[in-house]
Amino acid sequence: MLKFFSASTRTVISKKAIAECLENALQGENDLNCDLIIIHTGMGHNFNDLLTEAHRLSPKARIAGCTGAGIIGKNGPDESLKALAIMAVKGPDTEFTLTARSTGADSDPFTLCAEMAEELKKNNPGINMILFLPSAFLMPTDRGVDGIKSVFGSDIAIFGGISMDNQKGINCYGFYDSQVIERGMVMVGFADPSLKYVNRMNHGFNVIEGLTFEVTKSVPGRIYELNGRPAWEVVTEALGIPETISTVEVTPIAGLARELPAESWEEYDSKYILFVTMTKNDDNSINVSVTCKEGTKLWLTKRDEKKMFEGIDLMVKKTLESIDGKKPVAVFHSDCVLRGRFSLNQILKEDIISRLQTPFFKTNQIPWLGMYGAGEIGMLNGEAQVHQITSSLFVMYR
Amino acid sequence: MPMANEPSYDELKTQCNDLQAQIIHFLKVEQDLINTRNKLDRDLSLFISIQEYSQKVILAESLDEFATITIESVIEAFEVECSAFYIYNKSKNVLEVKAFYGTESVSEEMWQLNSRWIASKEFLKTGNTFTEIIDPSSLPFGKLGLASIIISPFYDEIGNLHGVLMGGVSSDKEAYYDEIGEELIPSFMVFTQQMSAMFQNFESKKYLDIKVRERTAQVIKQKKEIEKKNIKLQKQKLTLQKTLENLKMAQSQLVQSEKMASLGQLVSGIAHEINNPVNFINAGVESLSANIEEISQVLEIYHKITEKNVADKLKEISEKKKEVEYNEAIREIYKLIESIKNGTNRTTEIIRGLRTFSRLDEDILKMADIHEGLDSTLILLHNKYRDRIEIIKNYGDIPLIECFPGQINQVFMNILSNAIESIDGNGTITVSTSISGEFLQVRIKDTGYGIPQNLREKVFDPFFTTKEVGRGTGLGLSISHGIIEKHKGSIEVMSKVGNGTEFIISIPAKQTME
Repeated sequence: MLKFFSASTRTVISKKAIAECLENALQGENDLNCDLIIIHTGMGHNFNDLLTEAHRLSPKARIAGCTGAGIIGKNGPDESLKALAIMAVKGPDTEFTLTARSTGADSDPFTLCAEMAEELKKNNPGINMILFLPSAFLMPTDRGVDGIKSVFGSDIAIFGGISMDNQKGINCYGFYDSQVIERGMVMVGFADPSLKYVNRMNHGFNVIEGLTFEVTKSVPGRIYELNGRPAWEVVTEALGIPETISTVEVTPIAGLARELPAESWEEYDSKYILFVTMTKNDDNSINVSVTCKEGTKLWLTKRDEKKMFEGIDLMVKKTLESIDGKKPVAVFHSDCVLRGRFSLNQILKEDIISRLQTPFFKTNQIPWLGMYGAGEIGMLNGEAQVHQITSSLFVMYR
Repeated sequence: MPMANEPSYDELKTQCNDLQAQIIHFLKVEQDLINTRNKLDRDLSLFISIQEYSQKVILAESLDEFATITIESVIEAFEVECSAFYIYNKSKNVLEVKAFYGTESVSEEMWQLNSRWIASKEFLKTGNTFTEIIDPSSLPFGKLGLASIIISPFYDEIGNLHGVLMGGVSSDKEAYYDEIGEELIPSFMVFTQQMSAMFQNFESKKYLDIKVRERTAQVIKQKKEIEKKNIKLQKQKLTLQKTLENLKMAQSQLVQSEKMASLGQLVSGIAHEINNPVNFINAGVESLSANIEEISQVLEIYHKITEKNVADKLKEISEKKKEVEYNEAIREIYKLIESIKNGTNRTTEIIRGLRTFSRLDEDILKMADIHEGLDSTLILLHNKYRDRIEIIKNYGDIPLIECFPGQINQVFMNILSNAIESIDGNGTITVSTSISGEFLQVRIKDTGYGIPQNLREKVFDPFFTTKEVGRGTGLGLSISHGIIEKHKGSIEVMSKVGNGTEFIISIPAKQTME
């Protein structure tokens, strides 16, 4: 039976920071030894120092993790470059296993993730949940999710966040034991039969009615044309901004929405699922994390802060109802970078995280590990999907 | 067809486009506002960081700790990758790095800012804290990986270079960090000024700490010395206690000696006193024996009388009586018996006095007859004063007095002896007793020489004596004074040379025990 512990810190010296995290997480335990350490960190840390020191302090621990635009620990969000959060796990190695890959520009997400999933399954056929930390540069992520499903079945619980840097779009890193993998992709398979989960996410965005586009030419992860014209050209024109602008600048105001099947509306608290332009190409086509088939109707979106807060409250309420009084043992939290400092000020951001956490912490501090990433992977209507601009909570309970 | 006053399709489309354009415009404005707000958040966060830094660094106990907290705070507050804290070493003319964090490939030695570099930087000589972004390649270690550097010297109170604070970003991670630009200068300078103030405070504190440590060490040393002295004093105290005990023993021996001396002086007198009646008795017994022999001769004739020789024997008896002076012998016998009786009584009286006086050793508080004590003392001293000194007893009606009788008798012995010795030839000693309130008063007044005023204050001093060597210990009155004090009483002396001396002893009729 797996046991979870978490901590986070703003300490800037990397070795000191990871030591502090382990000490705080495992406070009250006999020593700092644990079996698995999942790390989320900002880009500013010396990653090798983090891993070396973690291994020194907990020699038998396996390590998994990735960089993000920020972390979310028990004490709230931290988007500094030296942010660090961990989830330490204790338990038999028969109840978890992990794998990782480096990804290249021409890597096929489906194949790669299916291969990784096979490896996990081979190591432990009892896997019933997978923490998936893909690289933002491996697109489309949903094909990677499909690859995992192809091995474990479409109802396998997959959760996690897309690894990124601090919204610079330069690089990201995955951590696998002592390896720092550039644009790496990491999976942790959990096989603790006693663990159950509830997974919900919410975005709180409205579509701008009237500003709709139709995908007229696309392949998975890339939209060439909208309304018969180069996609980037259409989006920037609709926003009244020059084409030359960088995607990083546009992304916060250029969320795109697709309509969900009607059976998912209530669970999702919205008719629409969102995605953003990750990068643009010279031909003004855009790269996205999801597959948008030709003929798909897209909307421009606008944030509705009232709806965001109400959506979060509802999400937490529904989650707690689903748990039905049972004890949450760990929360894996994925939040979109566009719900962080690039879109919200400190107060709103902290308010959102507080509303997500406070109801869970009413009685006890629950181990909590979160990351601001380039997308969220979570279960909707019984199947894993890639979401963006959401807050997603994957709550493990017994 | 559109109704009258209803907008046309084209008009509606135009309105719709306008509204969409407005929405998009608001989206962009909103994002601008968010960006501005983020900048304000960052400024606010920076000032919070400076405040937090001050709170943390004020607790620093060593230079290493101060330097480490400072560089960590620089990295956190300014979101730079690395930082270094230098202190200027005037004697070597180098900036010595006290703490640094950043690129792995640079050793501590490489971080030293040497004298050549210092000499080349005019801005280090200004004496005012300011901040400058410098070209990393101008630093000794610049080429080893730093992409951009912000540097701020700080100075002591009189404007001498004190050190340098630096923040930087390595080439490796340059892309993730915001560029170290001009906009960072004011806040970095504020931070440095705050740090400089905190550093001066730290150094003052350090100075105080050193002083406190020195003082503490001094106090500990003094404490140890005091402890040593205490041990020495303890030893001395023990020695003194022993000495005191020895002295007490010596005193006790001296007191005993005094008693012995007093008794010694008495012995001859007492022997003489006892000798007279004993001589009486001896002489009387011899005479009595002769007289009884003569009377026995008469009685023998009486025993020989029979019916036949009565007349002859009566004649013989008459002749014998004449011969032995029978009637004179009978008278002598009565006289001798009376004399022997007197001698025996006198001896008994002396022995009783001696027994009373011998209660000197009694150290038990009891009810005692003071007159009995005075009388027995006088008996013991009788041979010293008889025939020349008249003892006048003005005894009052006093109750039994609670005292240590043996000790009180010793007082009487000392004072009466002195009184007797002070009278050369004939004189008078008046012994008076009275009760005044709860105090017994005994006055012993002589008609002796008197004591000169200059000696009067010394009479109670130990070893003070006017007697020739070997005749007195000089302790008599001193011991007497001690005895009366022990009885919570007083002893006074009044004297006039030529008119005699009077000692007035007062003691409570009842002793209250503590």
